[in-house]
Amino acid sequence: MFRIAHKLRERGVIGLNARNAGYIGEQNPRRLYRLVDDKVETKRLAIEAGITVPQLYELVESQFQIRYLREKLAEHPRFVIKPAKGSQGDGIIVIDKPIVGGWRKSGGGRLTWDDIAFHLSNILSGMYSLGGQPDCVIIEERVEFDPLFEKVTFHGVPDIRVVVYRGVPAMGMVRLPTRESDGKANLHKGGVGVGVDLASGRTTFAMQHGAPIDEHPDTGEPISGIEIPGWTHLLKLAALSFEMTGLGYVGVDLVLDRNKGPMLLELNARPGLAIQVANRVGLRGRLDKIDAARESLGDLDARVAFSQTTFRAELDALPNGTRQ
Amino acid sequence: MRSRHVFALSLVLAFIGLSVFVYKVWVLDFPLEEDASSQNWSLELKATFRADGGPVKAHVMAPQAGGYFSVYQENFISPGFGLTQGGDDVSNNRQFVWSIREAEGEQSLYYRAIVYQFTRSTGLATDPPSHAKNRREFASTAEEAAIHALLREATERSADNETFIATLKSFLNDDILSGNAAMLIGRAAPLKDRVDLAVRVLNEAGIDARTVHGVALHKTARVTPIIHWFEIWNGREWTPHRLLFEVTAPTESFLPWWRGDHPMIDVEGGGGVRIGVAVSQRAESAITSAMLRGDVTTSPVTKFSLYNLPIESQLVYRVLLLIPIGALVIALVRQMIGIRTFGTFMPVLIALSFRETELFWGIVLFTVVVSMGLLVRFYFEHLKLLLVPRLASMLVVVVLLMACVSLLSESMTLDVGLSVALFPMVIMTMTIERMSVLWEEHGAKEAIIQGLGSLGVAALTFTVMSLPHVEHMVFTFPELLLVLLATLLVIGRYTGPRLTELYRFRHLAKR
Repeated sequence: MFRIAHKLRERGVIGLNARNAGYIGEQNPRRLYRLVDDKVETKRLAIEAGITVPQLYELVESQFQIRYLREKLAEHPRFVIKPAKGSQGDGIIVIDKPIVGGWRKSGGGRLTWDDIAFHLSNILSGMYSLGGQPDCVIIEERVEFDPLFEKVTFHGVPDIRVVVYRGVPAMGMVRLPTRESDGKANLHKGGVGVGVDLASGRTTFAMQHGAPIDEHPDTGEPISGIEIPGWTHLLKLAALSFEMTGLGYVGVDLVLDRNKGPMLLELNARPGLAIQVANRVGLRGRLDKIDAARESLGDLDARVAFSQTTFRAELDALPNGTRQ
Repeated sequence: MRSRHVFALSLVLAFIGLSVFVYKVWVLDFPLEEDASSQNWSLELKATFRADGGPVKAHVMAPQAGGYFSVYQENFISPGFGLTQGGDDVSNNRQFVWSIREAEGEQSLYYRAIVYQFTRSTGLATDPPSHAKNRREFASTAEEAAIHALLREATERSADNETFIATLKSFLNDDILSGNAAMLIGRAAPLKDRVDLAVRVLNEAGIDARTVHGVALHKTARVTPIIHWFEIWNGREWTPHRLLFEVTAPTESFLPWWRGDHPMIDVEGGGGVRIGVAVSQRAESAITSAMLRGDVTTSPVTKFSLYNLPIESQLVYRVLLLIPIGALVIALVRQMIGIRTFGTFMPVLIALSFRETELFWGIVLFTVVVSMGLLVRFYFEHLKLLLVPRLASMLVVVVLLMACVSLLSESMTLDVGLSVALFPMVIMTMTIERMSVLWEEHGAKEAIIQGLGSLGVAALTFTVMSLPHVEHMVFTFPELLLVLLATLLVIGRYTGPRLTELYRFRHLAKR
């Protein structure tokens, strides 16, 4: 047991205690949490900064608005229902298309209008928000994901998570939905996490439920070696979160839309630590390097360039044999 | 930088706490261990009778503090009846009178009390004997002769008062009596008659004695018999003596209820009186004689000691001061082990209620109520209710569930009424709600694991809070909580891995 702890420390793997006390505590002032916990705020900031976001169709803020929503939803065949203050993917429903009697959920299953109205009501009452606070409902555009990840996705939209420390991208991973995760890219629910080499934008290792895997559990296709186009541009969007919010330890969730290109889904002030497992390397080493070089890094481009040169996957290890 | 600030602050707090503690122990002689700790008992007397339709006066005896016992929190429960203290001539007993202007039919009166039983006696009764009362007239010359014969018999076979008493007792200990004793009260005389006889003989012999009646606080019993023994005046105080007939409990467990020839209950205006006494042992903490006397050994400077508060306040603080201990356990379990619970401090409140129900029954009660609550919650899903009314409905259901469970379970003793009231129903409702949301979003396994985790942490917290010296130390030395606070501050800057993380990231340690 202590051996595991020692090895983990050696490899720079940080746990929740270290993240909370050391990094989040230091870098994220509490008064700024609002900007990322409330997805409506985040959208506003993103639009101001010129970053594309999924279009907000409707914002439901009170119970009586629900009944008027039915007609409005008819205008949009596909959409996503999200609690504005939710976390960990709770309360999110992704709708594929309208069918007889209701709508079809991404990943299967039918919802009637009553189901949807009930769900909206729950969200408004704060069932999915932190601390049970009253909440709003976001009905937004459902992203048409780029065919890049088609072979390794089971319904739903895969997204790209980049952890940005003090404005410098530190680590990245792709999150792929599975049947188990009900079409959501959330790792807690059974999605697949894939490490990404920051230098090239190529996927490296994959894992599900914290254990390494080689193929997608539903499609059986290999996961590593996929190259993400426009990767540098994606990293710049991610690094922009620092200018946008002022938070020094952020998880940036991006998604590649077939038509609109990279879009910002949401920001996370308490990004999870599974990204270390997906990349098979600890965060601490990278964070320390950023701390050492931060003074000398000026603008956005310099920060991203630093990231791409310093954090190459070869420097850690590759799945097919080459060890450091 | 921040860490240094925290460490400095905690050092200061720990230093203050420890220095006051050391001062109290070395200079002021505060005891590090409890002296004369006690068992707690719940006592209930139920008296039923048939009222004749007119005014009713029911005189009932109440136990008094003294010797090994202290009596607290008395409750007289008698709907419709008025209660007054005192009554007719009852010598040094404590008597209450229930009265009502008009009553007909079956009536039930209840007396309930909490009794603390010490391991060392706080002293015996010292009221001087009144010779006039103790001497009774003889019913007949035959009786007089028999008693004198018995007295002579015992005297001949003994050398002094002490051996006389022992000899007399030996006559009355036999299952089947013989000789003069048998002639007076019958061969298979009950305990009460034997004790009465012993006292009569002793009084005739010039030794002041009186009968004592009460119950043995020995083990929990739904129906516990009234037992009888006697006390002998040795010039300074009344010493208890008992016969070795019928009753096997030790003498120290005898709670004196009333003394002398009076009945326990006497009803004017009614008949068919039946009485039953139930006793049950409580799991709650001990009270010390220090708390009762309001002093701690013989030291003078105890102005700021919590022992100077009235007993009821002391009892409250004893529990309150344990809460930081519970918080420490939770902080450790969460930060070092990584167990998540439904609600950060919910286990502390559950643990506090375990103090009323005992650990095993507490766990059973918790599990049953949460499981049934979940069933109801899943049903509520179909009803599509708004959130807050749904939560409120769950709360009502939980309260009803608690009531049903305690009514149905036979092995729950009369304390159930108290423990049900204190079991944190609101906490349970929130636990059920969170558990069901987790169940829906993340699956049954996750929900059950976290549920068991919460219960486990509650049980652990309870165990730590019940460790023998913990309560005494925290109550006698509340400054130690500063040390506890210092520890918590340090834990607040702990950046090491949690135990659960060692498992979660185990693949990263391989290769």
